[in-house]
Amino acid sequence: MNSRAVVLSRLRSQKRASAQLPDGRFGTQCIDIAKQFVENTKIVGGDCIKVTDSGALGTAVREFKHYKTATKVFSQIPAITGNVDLDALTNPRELADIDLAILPGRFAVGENAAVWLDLGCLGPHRAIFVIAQHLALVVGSDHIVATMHDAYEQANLTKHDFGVFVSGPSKTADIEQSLVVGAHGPRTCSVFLVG
Amino acid sequence: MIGHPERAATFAADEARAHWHDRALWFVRVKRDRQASSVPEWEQLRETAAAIKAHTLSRLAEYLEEFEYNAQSHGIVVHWACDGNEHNRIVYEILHQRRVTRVVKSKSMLTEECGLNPYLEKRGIEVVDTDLGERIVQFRHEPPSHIVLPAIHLKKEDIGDLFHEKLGTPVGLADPSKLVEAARQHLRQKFLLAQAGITGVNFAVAETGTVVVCTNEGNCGMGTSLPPIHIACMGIEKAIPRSKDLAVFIRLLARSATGQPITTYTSHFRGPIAGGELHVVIVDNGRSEILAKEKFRRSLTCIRCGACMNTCPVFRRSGGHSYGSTTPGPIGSLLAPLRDMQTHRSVPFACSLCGSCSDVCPVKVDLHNELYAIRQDIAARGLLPLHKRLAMTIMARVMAHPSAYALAGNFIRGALRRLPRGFLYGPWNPWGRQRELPAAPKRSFRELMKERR
Repeated sequence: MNSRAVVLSRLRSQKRASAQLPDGRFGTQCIDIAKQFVENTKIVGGDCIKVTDSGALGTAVREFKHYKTATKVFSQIPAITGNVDLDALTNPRELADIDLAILPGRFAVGENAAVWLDLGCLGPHRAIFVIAQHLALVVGSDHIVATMHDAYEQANLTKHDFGVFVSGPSKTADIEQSLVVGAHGPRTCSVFLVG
Repeated sequence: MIGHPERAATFAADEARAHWHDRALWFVRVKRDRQASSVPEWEQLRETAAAIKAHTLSRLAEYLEEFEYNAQSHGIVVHWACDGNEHNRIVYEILHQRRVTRVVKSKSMLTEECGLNPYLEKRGIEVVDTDLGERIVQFRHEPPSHIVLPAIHLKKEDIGDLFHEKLGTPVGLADPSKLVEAARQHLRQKFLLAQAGITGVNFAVAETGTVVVCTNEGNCGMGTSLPPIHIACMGIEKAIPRSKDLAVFIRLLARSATGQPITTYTSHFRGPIAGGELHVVIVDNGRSEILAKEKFRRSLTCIRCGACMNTCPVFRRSGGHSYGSTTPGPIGSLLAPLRDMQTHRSVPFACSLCGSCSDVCPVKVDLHNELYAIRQDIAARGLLPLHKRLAMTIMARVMAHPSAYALAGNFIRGALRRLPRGFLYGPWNPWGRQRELPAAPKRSFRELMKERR
């Protein structure tokens, strides 16, 4: 018998009363989800920049400090031009010196400031969301859901082979519980809320 | 034999450090409370999580098969391992066949449990733990002392000295942000050179064939999107039925673990990276045996948040290494003896049965009840130390006879009043080593009752 059959037969040989699977969906009482998102973005160490429309987004990004100081910028937002072409790269290791990545988020979550990125948001190399020194995410302000229950209804895990919730910059508290921002991933994470 | 009391004594000998450790973990507990109370439906979430887990365990074979089927349909290669050795062999075979010699690993308690690192290292494969805390303990050749905060037993000065030796940071550098920066640069090189990445699994969704990994540092993202090969190792208990169930667990996990509303990265893998490979190794290693034990089944629903450790008055004051197993603290005090009762017979007694662990557990494992139950099993198997067995036998006999009990009470009250301290706290009184005996009352309760009548 192979190990698969052994493990499964071990589990099947046990008689257990079956327990009901609950629905597990909770509503929310939060009225101002956008406000909650902005507050939680601060809590998770991120930045939130509100812009009125996609025209204003271009201006705001050009004024953005990590854009102004960046040498290499990758943009997956049509309205903003970067200066690196990742389609031309075959090895994701060549992404190591990218200063800023500007990526669209499908939607954001009010209760924890997470932004959902699937493969469609990440461009040709999915490493981009974690290897860039700084990360800018662009989300429509009408694309914020209240809780993770709503989030998983929106996310559709079957659509892409990879998807990630990003909430703030990478961080660690592994040395004496003191929070240090900028562990292995981006040192900053800014969310541009459009509309 | 060296058990929890002996190892804890070593830790507690440095009083200042033990006190700091206690405070540091309590700080995490307080952060957890703040997050928990910010969610009005917190208690219902816990109940729902417990119910989802109970349901999943009741038909685990079916869910694992469903997971396997859906994962395979998207190009994930699924492997099965009966025990830790087989798990290690499978991982090694995958790496060896592809001539991989450099591997980065993000945090995985399962691979710790199976001893994967030494297994691979012995066969010429470099394994770099990339979670900062894990890298620190790997440098020190010691196991993590906490499942979420692996280096919580160390002070920043210790880490400064270590990094000076290993990474060439200046002598005496103990600023956490500078130390993290040094580790970032060091590990970036490792990520860029790695040929494969190994991760654990927080949840495996049967309905979609997705594995979910939660991290803060971004090491999982780096380790799984730079090298073309990703191996994810999971215990059989990680399966959950639906993607909507993830919402319940993700809402609970980081809030309970570190007091964050969510971890920085929650990664969902449903297929290999373009042009690469994704392997999932499903491991039993004693879990199905625990599942067969009705009394202890709920310990398998643990989602490894570490909240029970942060709240435990014994863990905070004795340190994770005193438990002598991969998973320490209240949950570890169950899992370890369930797997090997002889070796880990002392840890369930490192507990005051205060129940704080059960109160904070996000999936409502009734930890203190199970700990109480396993103590009885340990006693029934004759694994209690001799002095405890003797004391219990004598006490049981005395308490069964009212006259013997009255006589013993009289004798002890007299002894407590008259005998010198040096005698009362002699080597025959191990209980009194860290505790004060109570002041002896003049009269017994029975005498007082007689007077009242």
